[in-house]
Parts: sequence; C-alpha cells; structure tokens
Amino acid sequence: MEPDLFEKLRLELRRGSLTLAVLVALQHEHYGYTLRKTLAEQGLDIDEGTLYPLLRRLESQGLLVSEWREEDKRNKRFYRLADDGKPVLAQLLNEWRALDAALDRIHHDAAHAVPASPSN
Amino acid sequence: MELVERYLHAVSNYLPKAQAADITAELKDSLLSKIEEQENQTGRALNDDELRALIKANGHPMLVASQYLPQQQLIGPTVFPYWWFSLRLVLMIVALVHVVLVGIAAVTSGHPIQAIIQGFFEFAGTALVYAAVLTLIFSLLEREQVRFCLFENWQPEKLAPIKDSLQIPRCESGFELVVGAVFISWWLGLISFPTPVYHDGVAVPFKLSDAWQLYWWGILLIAVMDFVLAAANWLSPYWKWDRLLLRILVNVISLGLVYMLFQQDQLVVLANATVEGEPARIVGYINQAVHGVLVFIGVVALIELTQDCRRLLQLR
Repeated sequence: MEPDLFEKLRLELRRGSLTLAVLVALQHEHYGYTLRKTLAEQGLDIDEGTLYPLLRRLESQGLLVSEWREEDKRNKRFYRLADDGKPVLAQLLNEWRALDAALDRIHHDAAHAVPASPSN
Repeated sequence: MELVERYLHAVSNYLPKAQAADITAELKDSLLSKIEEQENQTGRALNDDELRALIKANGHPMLVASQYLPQQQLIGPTVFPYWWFSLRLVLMIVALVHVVLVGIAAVTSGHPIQAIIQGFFEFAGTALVYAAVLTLIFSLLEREQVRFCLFENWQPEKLAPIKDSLQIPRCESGFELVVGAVFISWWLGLISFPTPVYHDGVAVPFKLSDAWQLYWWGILLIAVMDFVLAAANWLSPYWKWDRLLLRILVNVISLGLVYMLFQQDQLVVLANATVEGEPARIVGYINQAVHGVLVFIGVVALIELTQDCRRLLQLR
C-alpha cells in the first residue's frame, strides 16, 4: 500500500468538510486568527495556508462578507456569513446530514450482512 | 519584527499587485496574533530563533502566495483527459512521420546508423516542441475555463467490440498462405514475373545480385516456416505458445537477414551487363527501393516480435 495513502484520502475527505465548517462557524463574526482557533478547539485543525485563501474564495463567491476594523490597536479583517450564503449553508448542511445518514446505513448494512458462501 | 516585514514583502512579490497589500495585511495580523499568543504562553518576548521557527512554520513565501492565486495547476482534472488524448495522438503522428523520414534517409543516404541517430534526435526535438505548444494551448483553455463537449456526444453502441488478441483472423492466415506460396514458387524459380519497370517503352531487365546467394537457403527456410505457420494458424486460428515461439524465431532470423542484406550496396543488377546510361540509373533507384522494402520488413518484424512477446506473457 502507498505509504501516504491514508493522508491523501484524509485530505480528500476533509476538503469539502472544511468549507462547510467555515461557513457554519462564520454564522458568528470572526477574524482569521480567532476563526482558526475556534475550529481547532472544536477538533478541526486547519492551517493558515488553507484557511485564508478559502475565506477569500468564499467571499468572492458571495457567501461571506468581510470588513477591516481596528481591534486591540490592530487592523483585523472580520468575516461573517453573507445573506446570500445563508440558504446555501442550509442546503449544504442538509446534504451533509443526508450523506452522513447514508454512510451510516451503508456501514450498518455491510456490518450486518451475511457473508456470501464460497460455493455461490 | 523586521523579519516579519521581510517575510511579508517576499510573499507580496509573488502576489498579483491589486491584491498584494490586502493579503499581506491579513497575513501580518495572523502572524502577529501567533507571536502574541506564544509570548503570552512563555511570559516573555520571542527570541530570534523562536521567531525564525514561527515564520518558517508559516511556509515558504512562494507557496503561501501560490495558495491565493486563482489557477493552482497548469492543466486541471477536467482538461487533463483532453490534453493527454491530444498529446498521445500528436506524438504518435510525429513519430510515424519520423519513422518514414528516417527510413527514407537510411536507404538513400548510405549511412543508415547515422540517419537513425540523427532521426531520433530530430524526433525528440520536434516532439518536445509539439508537446510544449499543446500544453500551452490547453493551459490557456484551463485558464479561460473553456468547456469541452468533444466527448459528450458519444454513442455506446458504437464502442469497438472486445478483441481477443490471441485470436487469429482466418483472412490474415489465408493471405499469408497465398503470398507465401507465390513467394516460395518464385524463389525456387517455378514461376517468374515480367519486369515491371519500363524506360521509353522498353523494359529495363534486372535481376537479383549475387549478394543474395549467401542467404538463399536462409530465406527459403524462413519462407517455408512462415508458410507452415500460416497453414497451422488457418487450421487452428488461435495463438498458442509453440506457434508464438516459432514466429518469434522466424522474426529474429528475418531481422538478422534484413540487417545483413541491408549492408549490401547492390541487391539488384541489370540482367544485361552491356546496357548503360538511363537504365543503369533506374536500377540504382530500384536498389534504393529494395533497401526501403528491407527497412519495412524489419519494422514489421519488430512490431510482430513485440506483439508476440506480449501474447506470450498473456498466455503465461
């Protein structure tokens, strides 16, 4: 087996979920650093190299809005979910739950399936 | 903090001018927040080594900047199959053209090895240019997000039938039998053909040179083996390992004979030695044509050898 196979599959699996996690978290306003910390505290580590470009992409797609504000004597860019992003987030969450439920069912069925007889 | 500024400046060098200031401002805040957090944990300012480590962990400036660029790959997964298909097609055409040109050059130049080596390097250069141009075109299509519909209007019923590579078409064996019988009869002198070459309405009489004498039995042996093989294939049209081995042997011997005959300058001579002038020049052309036929036979033998080795592996 490829040595980095698990890591590759894990990254593939995470790619879509990160977008969803960011959108969910930005229902409350955050700037990049606190958003990253919030996600990490909830068990979802994401490095800056992925997070900041993702935030910009989501903003350019109209799902997020941002503004520069001063806080603690430093300029920070605050992000939050845009109005247009709310229905998209709802749809994505439904899709995520449906996927999760389907995977559970498939896993359950596979775990309880009677193994096929070798003579068949 | 001078190191932070230098780092941000390096990142901005790889970013589009319009976004550089905005992106680096955000990166700066992120870096300063991390520094603050670490300083709060240790209760003191970071030393140079710690600051260097923190900045290094953030990633090389070029890599950090590249993640903000819209196009992350030269050719993405959507365009890749079209690029790969086109590249193989173009390189195959370039290779075929070069094989023909090298074959002609090998026959006409009188220096076959030099012609083949020169042809190989010319092929490598041409192939590289075509591959580069094709890649450039497809990377522009990727950049412009051009949608392809080339493979969308296909019909499943037009898919090629599955071909069994071990199956031998009877028409192929039949053709080989007829050609083999005619060749052996001609080689043994049982039949003859009128000269196909005319000059000013007069036949140019030519015959095989003495160079063939040395290989007469070898060629007859090969022709008979080929004929027997064609007959066996016609009766039982499926490759088996013993027949494959026989054909490999035939092709190896053929390649040897082709190589040795190719070394001879005069493979065809005028039947009437007293004839001079234009007919003699025409016989020169015929010699070149025969050398060309030898190259063709060699290429066919090589292709068959490759196919037969694959079939042997399949039978293993």
